[in-house]
Amino acid sequence: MRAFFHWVLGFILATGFIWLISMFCITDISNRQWNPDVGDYIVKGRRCIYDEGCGCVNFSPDGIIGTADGLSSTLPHVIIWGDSYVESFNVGDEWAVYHQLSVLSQKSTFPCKGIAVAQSGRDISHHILLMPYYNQKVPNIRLHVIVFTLNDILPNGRTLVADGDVPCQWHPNMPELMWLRPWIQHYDLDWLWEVLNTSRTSFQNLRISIGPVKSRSLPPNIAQSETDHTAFWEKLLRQLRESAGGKEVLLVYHAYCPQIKDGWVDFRDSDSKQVESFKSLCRQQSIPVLALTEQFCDYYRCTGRFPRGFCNSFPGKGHWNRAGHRLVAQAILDYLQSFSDKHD
Amino acid sequence: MLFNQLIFVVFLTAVLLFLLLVRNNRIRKLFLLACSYYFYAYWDWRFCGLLLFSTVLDYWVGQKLKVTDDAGKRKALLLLSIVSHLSLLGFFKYFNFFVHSLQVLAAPLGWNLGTLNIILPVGISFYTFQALTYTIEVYRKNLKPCDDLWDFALFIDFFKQIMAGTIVRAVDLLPQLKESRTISWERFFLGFRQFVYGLVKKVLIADHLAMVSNYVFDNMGVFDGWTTWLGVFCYTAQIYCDFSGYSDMAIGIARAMGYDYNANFDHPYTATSITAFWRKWHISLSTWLRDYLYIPLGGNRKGDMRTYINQILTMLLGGLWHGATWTFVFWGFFHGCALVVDKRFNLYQKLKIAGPLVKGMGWLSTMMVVMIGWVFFRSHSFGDAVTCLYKMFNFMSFNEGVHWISFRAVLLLPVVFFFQALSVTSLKRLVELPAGRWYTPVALFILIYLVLLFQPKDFTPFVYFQF
Repeated sequence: MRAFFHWVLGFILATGFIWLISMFCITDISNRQWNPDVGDYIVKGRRCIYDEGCGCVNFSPDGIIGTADGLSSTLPHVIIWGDSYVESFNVGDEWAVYHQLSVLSQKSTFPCKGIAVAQSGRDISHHILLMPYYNQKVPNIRLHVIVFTLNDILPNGRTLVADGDVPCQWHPNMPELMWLRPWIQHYDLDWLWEVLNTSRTSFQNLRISIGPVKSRSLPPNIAQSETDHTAFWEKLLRQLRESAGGKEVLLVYHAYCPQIKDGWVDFRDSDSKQVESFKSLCRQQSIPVLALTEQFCDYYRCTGRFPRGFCNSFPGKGHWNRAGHRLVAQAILDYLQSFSDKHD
Repeated sequence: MLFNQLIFVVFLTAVLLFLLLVRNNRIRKLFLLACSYYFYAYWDWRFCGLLLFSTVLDYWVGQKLKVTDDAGKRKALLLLSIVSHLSLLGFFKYFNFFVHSLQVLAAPLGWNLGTLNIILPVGISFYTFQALTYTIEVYRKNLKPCDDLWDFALFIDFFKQIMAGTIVRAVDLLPQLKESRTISWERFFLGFRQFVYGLVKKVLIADHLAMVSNYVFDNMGVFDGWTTWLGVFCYTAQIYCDFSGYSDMAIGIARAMGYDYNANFDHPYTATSITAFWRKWHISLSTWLRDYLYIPLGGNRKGDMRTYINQILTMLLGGLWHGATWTFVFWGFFHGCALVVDKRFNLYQKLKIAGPLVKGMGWLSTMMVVMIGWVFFRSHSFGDAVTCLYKMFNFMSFNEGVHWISFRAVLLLPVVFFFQALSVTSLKRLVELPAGRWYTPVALFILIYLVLLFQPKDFTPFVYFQF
């Protein structure tokens, strides 16, 4: 009996210790709030991550990032649209592309205020649908910048399309266990959240039956990226112009290179063919496209470092690091300056 | 079913509950046997037949050896067991290896030998050697043949060690199986504690270091010298924590159930000579090779030259046991040569009594030999291994390539080497977490939480599963 109480006490002490430590170093729960105007579940308040890079990002109630001082700036706003790359958890607010754009632009001939509307998993269709709302919300918009990869412009199910058509309806996914998240955040139970999440996955994958596990090979999948998407893209770009409401739009493409692959540093962009087709369509519709492939590759050639990867992940893999964000910010600023110079 | 998976926790809990509630030894052992076969069938039920074959064959050989005194017949029975087991092992593990090797010679003649699509049964190297300890010891009359088929079946297929655990000898386990063993709180605690230690080594340390070493070894040509060294350090720590962690888990489970296994590792990275290293690394295998290969070959009883040949041959076959590639064979040969040098200059005995400075140099050179050996052990090919060694020792272009100092490596490597160093001091008692202390359950629960929190999201098998 004594041993039983000894272990129960040990469990309680261990739990208390973990709880105490986690208040300072574990912030994992992403608490979200339904915003009826935006029509999506927006990250509430501040969120930090530590498993790939390290950083904290603050969200406004409207889902805008980079508005610590509100939207009262007299400078023209540049809205950067994107997914987890632009969301910037890996580097935090102070090193994110929107903040670096603001800082770099102060020393240039085109000072501006960079802000972002981004959430992990979003693609160009999401941005098109959300743009009219933020056009109303954000004053003095100078430029919409949409950061994309090939997957973000393909009708591959991630985009909000029906039968290959352009997006017209929003179906937000409610995050799992929404009712639990505020409690977890309020009582600093993030340490429990991660363990519950992992255990849930393990339980879902539990197998009692003996092996071998039968697996069916999937039918050959003709890659979407090899199909001609001209018709889809034409509609997409037309809708983009309509959603932008007369504001200028810049598309920024970032390839997954350079990367370490099969024992080499690979500078090739495997999506370049499709992206070139998309770029030529954009040119026809007078929508400028910036491709950052050369900037990223040159950065590696000059410094020996990759614009992706962190000390707690892998070089050349994953999201942009501080250098990557800076390269993107600089490219956007160079475009703004060249446009400003042309019109001067 | 791996020890660090949820299904195993559920499985083990059910097994322990049953053993706690049921006192009849026969029923307990039959239940354990059924669980052991289920454990193996969880991977692939079709290969349970191999276990059954090993069990029936060696049981029959044991019974025949019991009633036969004729030297010739006894030898024939022993050979039957050895040839059968090694043939199965040779077919499943080495058939394609030998065909590939012969293909290199046959290609100029225009022959295409072709290979078979063979599934390697999990743990075959382990249970083959384990089964052979029985027939050899019965042949030598060091062990009485087991009369109970169910006990013998449980010895062959005791689930704890079969999937790359310790090579448990018949002389150690069979007598324990005969006795009636119960679960006591003290034994359960010791077993649970050792299991948690093993889990921490595997999940918190080995799996995370594997992410670094795999990335470096899979892209060997890209990184600079510093990163290459870091990758090799990571693999050195990874393979130790992975394998000793699994051994700890297997031994811990056995202890919790009431059975005692011998230790399989004894802080091998504190060894000051290569001979000492092999007395601390994978002890069950090294002693198996010593007792059933090296000594029968003559050991050190037939002069120096023959001793050296025996050492090299034993280690060469030890390397081959690990895997069906020439890099493993070379690894064994490399260690064999190191042992020959050790023997030639009597380094093991000299370093045992040497002063701290000389011992330190001995430790450093031993670690260097071991790490160079791991390069061949880990590399996919000789080309990769040579590239790795070139990157490590070419100081002219040491800084050329991608430089990467992984946070994981910086955090975890000192922990591994610190605990290795601690083990040879009196301070090791501080981290032993004895029963009855207030902090022991606190520390164990915190460790379990850390394992749950930091377990890698991708599946990471045990390194020795491939053997």
